[in-house]
Amino acid sequence: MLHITCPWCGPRDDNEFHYGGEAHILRPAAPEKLSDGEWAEYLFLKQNAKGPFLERWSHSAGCRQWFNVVRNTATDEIIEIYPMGELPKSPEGIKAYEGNWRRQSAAEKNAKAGVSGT
Amino acid sequence: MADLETLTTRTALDPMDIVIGGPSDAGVTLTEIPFQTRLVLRGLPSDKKFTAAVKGALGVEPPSKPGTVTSSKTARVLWTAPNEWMVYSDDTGLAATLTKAVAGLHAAVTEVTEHYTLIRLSGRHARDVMIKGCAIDLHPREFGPGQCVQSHLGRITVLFDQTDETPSYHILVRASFAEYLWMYLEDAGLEFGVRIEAAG
Repeated sequence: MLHITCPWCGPRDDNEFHYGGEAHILRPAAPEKLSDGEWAEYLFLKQNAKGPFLERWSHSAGCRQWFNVVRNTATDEIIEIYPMGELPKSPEGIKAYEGNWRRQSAAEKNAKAGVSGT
Repeated sequence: MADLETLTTRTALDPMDIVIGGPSDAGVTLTEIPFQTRLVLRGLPSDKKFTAAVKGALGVEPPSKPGTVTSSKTARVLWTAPNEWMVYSDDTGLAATLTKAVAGLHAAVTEVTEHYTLIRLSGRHARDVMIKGCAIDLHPREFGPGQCVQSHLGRITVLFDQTDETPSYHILVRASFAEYLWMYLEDAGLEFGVRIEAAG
């Protein structure tokens, strides 16, 4: 069993948590400008990393807050826990974020273009 | 159509026909605390107007530290999330009072009295019964009066707080799980002796 440290409630057993999948998947701002292939990348393709992976968890049996976790999928080591809406600060987390194929995807570029208003 | 005159208020545990009684030297006592007002209060703890309005209505500010409880003569306020609290009170009109107090602010008051049942587990072996089904460290060094926890007890989600050093725990459980939890606690307490007391 994993011990996950909820940013609010402290360390708890993993059966109190709900897994939310890969973190930092931005919704495209103008989906109509994406091809079917690019839309499918956004919807269906996940990183499936072996090693540090950025993922979302919710403390569903406790305070019901969402947060981000950097977890090594090979060893289950939890490297960093950080709030929603922020980027990882640990070297492993930064590397996993920047090395993710999604940073170069058309869907993410489309999403960021929408955020900046262009 | 049912005759409204003959309808009576029932708690989630009424269908069990619980028999009051048990050995006087029982290690734990179980009590259902029926119909105590329970409110979910939401708001921003950083909003001074909000905390002042709550203090005006309840006599105490909502706790900002996770897993803690503040209490006054009127109410007991349990931390359940960074912007959410559970309020217990014997004042049946408190929902209206509190709603009026926070009117116009970024806040919400929801009455959830009937959604939950409150069970008190008390006695010298109460901690032994709790730790059978709960992974939280309840040793006095880690957990005592004034603290609350949302976690699993006997595999179901509950909110409980310790109210005295006996120790006593007040366990808040969803109405549909109340019967299960009551039977679970009776069974878990069997080796220490269980006495059932009426609230009051």
